[in-house]
Amino acid sequence: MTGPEVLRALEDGIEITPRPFAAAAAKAGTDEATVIDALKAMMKDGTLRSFGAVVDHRALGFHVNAMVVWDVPDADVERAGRALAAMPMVSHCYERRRVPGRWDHNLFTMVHARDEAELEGFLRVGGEVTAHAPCQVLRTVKELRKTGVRL
Amino acid sequence: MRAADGTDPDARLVQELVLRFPLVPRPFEEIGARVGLTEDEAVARTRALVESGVLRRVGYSVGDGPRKARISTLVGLKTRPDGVDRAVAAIGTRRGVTHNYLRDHEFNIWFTLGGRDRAEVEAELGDIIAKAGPEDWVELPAVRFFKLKGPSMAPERAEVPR
Repeated sequence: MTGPEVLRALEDGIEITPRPFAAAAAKAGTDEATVIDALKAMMKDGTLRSFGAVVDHRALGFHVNAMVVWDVPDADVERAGRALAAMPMVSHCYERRRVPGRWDHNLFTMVHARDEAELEGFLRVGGEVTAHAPCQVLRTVKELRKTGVRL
Repeated sequence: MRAADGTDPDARLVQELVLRFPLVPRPFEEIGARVGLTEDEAVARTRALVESGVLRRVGYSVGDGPRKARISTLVGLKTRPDGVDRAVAAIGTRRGVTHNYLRDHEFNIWFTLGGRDRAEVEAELGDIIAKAGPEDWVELPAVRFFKLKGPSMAPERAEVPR
């Protein structure tokens, strides 16, 4: 039994039953302890980042979700990125490569707000944090797909 | 809807399910004990949260790993309104696509694309672009991560529908 087989058996998540890892083991033709040990080993070596429930932001009351992108001078990305990442409304924050002239924004924040007013508040504080770097807001109009990584 | 004030059992349950899911034979027994529910109650409430859509799933999230098992990139497409359906169909349900959003911007379709290595991602991306036919597109690999799935994912400041 290898890690990839365990991941494949659990790619849609566990069954919500008292012994979920036994259920996954039965599917993969192995035993419960093997599945649990493989998951622990993959958490330890970094193959897996986390194990747990994945929440739906809208269902939790976050109705305004947006990708907010900033054009921050390279020398200031580290500071600005850390500051934006520390804001509770931000779930993900990355520096990404620019495509000069076609996409100049290099700092990406995924923002989850209850309403437009909360998003505006984020933009105001984010503007101060980034020393008023040029910024664009790309609201989620529709979520077409969101799954875990399928190996 | 009830505010999560630390006493709402569903809010506390979600918090434990998100942040501290134990890899043990009977995880719902352990989580139930933490929030004052029996194992059966914890299973039933978790099942209800999945069925109502509050929880998408309970499972793993892939990390970078010591072997850099996978790479991933972000792609933005600038697509005319009457070309959106074609582009969405081209992106479709390919295994490498984990997120795909329609956004209110001239670059209106954004998706993440992963694969085993750069060559696999480029081949897949080339095929998607050819089929989607966008006016323009950008591919923006991550350079540095400052935050992945922060505490806002947990319901500490959210409301859990009942």
